Amino acid sequence: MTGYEVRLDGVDFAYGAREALRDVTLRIEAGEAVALLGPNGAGKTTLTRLVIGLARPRAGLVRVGDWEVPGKRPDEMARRVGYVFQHSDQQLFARTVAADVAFGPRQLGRAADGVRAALLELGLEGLAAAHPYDLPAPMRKVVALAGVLAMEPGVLVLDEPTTGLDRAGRDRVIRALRRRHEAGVTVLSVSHDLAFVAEAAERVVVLRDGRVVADASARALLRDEAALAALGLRLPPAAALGLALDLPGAPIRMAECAAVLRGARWTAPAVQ
Amino acid sequence: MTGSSSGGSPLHRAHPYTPLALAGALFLLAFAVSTPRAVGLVVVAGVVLAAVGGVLRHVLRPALVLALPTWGLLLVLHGLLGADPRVVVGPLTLSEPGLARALVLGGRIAAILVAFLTALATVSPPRLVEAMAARGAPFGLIFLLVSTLTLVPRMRARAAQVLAAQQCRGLRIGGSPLARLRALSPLVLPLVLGALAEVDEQVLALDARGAVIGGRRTVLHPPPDSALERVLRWGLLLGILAAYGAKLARGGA
Repeated sequence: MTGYEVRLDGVDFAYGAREALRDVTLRIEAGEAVALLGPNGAGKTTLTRLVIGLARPRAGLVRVGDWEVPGKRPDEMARRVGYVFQHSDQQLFARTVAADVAFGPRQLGRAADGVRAALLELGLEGLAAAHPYDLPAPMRKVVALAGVLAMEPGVLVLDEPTTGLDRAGRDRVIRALRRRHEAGVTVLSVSHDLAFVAEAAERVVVLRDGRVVADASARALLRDEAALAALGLRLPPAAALGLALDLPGAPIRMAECAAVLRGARWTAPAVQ
Repeated sequence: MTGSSSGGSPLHRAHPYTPLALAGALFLLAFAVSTPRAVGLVVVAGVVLAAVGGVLRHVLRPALVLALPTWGLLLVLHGLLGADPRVVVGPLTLSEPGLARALVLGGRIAAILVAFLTALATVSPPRLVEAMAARGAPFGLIFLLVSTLTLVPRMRARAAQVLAAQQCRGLRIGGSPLARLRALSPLVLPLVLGALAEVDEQVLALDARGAVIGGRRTVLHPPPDSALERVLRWGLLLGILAAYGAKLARGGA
């Protein structure tokens, strides 16, 4: 899978008279996993909608790889960018989970090989013949994610992908995203769930009032209690545990904490 | 189609029954009068009401979109195919009584649309719920009315979400008639299924909160209802009764 660079240069966007993004410049390298944080109304979802071409910037440049997004329709952008909406459980329409997951690849004229793989990856193989609306809303959201993974996009954009999921579902989503990231796919996720961010992102960009106010490695920002408090957020559990016990290696994931506590030799990657 | 808009106009600030009473009065008045000039005055009153409510632009476009096809049909049915004598209007030779009939019917449709779209745009559903609950209205009636008032804007928002989501899954909107037909099911089905699922959840949630048990509810902040507004509403009722009385006296034409 080929990841694409996502680039915003001096982007302004407004809903009528209300400015949503102001002079936003952001570069996400191909294959990077980035999380967007910020309070409600900060412009996170707006930024992601610009990347898929659902919104047009008032000023500035938005590029995905060598494509200028404002010149493309969302169905054209779907060849490169897979977008999982915040309320993606509302987009399902087919009679079975498998048929719904196959919709995207079929629209793009791609082979259906990815459908079975996506179902397996997200633990949906037993539900392939079920009607999507017989599933609870969080599971429908997982079905929507499977539909996007099956399209095998080079850029994955996810808006609050773990809302309402139980721990097993959340872990499956995290594993799927990590696999994509390791395969070179660019991952951009919007989330208020810092435990998810710690697991799925290597870099965190913070928006406030439509501006980028922080851009740091996940390991640095997710252990900065004061910076998170300023955003109305609290340390993710693993980071809080690591700080409370003064664990070496700046762990931010539970598996890292467990490794340190077991006495395993584990060292964090260098903070970028 | 329009939905409740935010604003600080006198209609937005008024007790929710007042804009509804004004709209209802215009509706009834449009049928109490029977000359093109009188119906025209009712339409003008509706437009003034929308302007006072600060929702003229919000209301006129959907009203025109809804009324234009019917106006065209009325012109053909009554104006072109109506009885003699004929009158020349621009390039057309039209039936004089037919044209008058088309103007009256078309005017009534316009008055009804403008009046009710104005009420819809200026009455906030939560305030209407409070007002009705404060007057002891049965919950079923409140739920039915408010669900209807909020249905169109909610469905519109959901339709926009579904459209965006399917486009992001590669669905192309446009192209040949066959392609457009194929694109319908991914758009319509989630809209309908989602709405049904939502209603199901809403009913369960309302049941769980004891909404259908009955009994008068205590409303914490009922919308204020001034003496002036109450007088206005009673005045409207009396005015409508007088208009219908006059119509009956004229022979009910």
